[in-house]
Amino acid sequence: MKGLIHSPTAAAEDSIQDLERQVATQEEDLRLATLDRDLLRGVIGRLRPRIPWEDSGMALCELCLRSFLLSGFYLAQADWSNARIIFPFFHEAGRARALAPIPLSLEAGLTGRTLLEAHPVYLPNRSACEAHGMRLTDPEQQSGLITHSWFGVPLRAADPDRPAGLMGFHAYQEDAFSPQRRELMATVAALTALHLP
Amino acid sequence: VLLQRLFRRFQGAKTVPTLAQREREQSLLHRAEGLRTEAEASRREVEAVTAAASLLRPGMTRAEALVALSGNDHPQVVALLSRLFPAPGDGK
Repeated sequence: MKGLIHSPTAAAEDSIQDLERQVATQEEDLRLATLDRDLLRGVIGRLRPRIPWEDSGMALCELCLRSFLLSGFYLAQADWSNARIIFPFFHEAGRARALAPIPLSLEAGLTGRTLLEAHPVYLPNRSACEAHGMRLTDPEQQSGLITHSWFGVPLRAADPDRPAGLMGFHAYQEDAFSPQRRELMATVAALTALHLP
Repeated sequence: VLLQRLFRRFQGAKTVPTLAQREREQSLLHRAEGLRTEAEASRREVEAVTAAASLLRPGMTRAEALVALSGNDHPQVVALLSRLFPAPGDGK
């Protein structure tokens, strides 16, 4: 008989607990959706037409580091006429760094290769990065903290075969960027490309 | 038979919520609906901006951009277009 004696409201309590769980799930869903929305609003709000490359890197860096949990973020500018890559903005391991230009060639690390291939490249671990010609930067060599996930998105130009440059995202974790995060990163890069001189 | 009737009545009573529980249920349902609607609106905005960013090309004129984005009139896309191609008199 004991098993039959329930509170008259037991089923309603179960239903309420179920609803509370649904609300908690939807609160999390909303939090994530709002983060993505605010990221894009932030990007659009910070960019302006013909914004200099350095300024756009500075304007977007903090937003991207926080939104994508990055260890590094940079903009590379392709100088096709002189066959070299310039780094107007490069942020890694906690601060902005000055990088010397490098030749624009297939041997020029991940950036050069991705620019020449002219489509986004995602490398989810260190061996994939090395296979694509990753070069260790000075901070990586000094600290031993090495990029394991790298995503490079060419910045579109009028000529689709000659991107204006590249937006690079890196993280210390392996496979840090899901397809959904990469789509959002590509959108950030596309919006940036529209505003560059 | 009497026992069976009593048992059925008891079973039915278990599912009848109190007034406070009904109010709590209504409140949670209302909250869940509000959250869902808000999340959907955020996702629609992200989708609209993503679609716009993929269709626009550097060097496009305002007219070309308007053609490329015809049908995508999300307020955030309209704001993006206004920033990229300020109409004469904008910002004054």
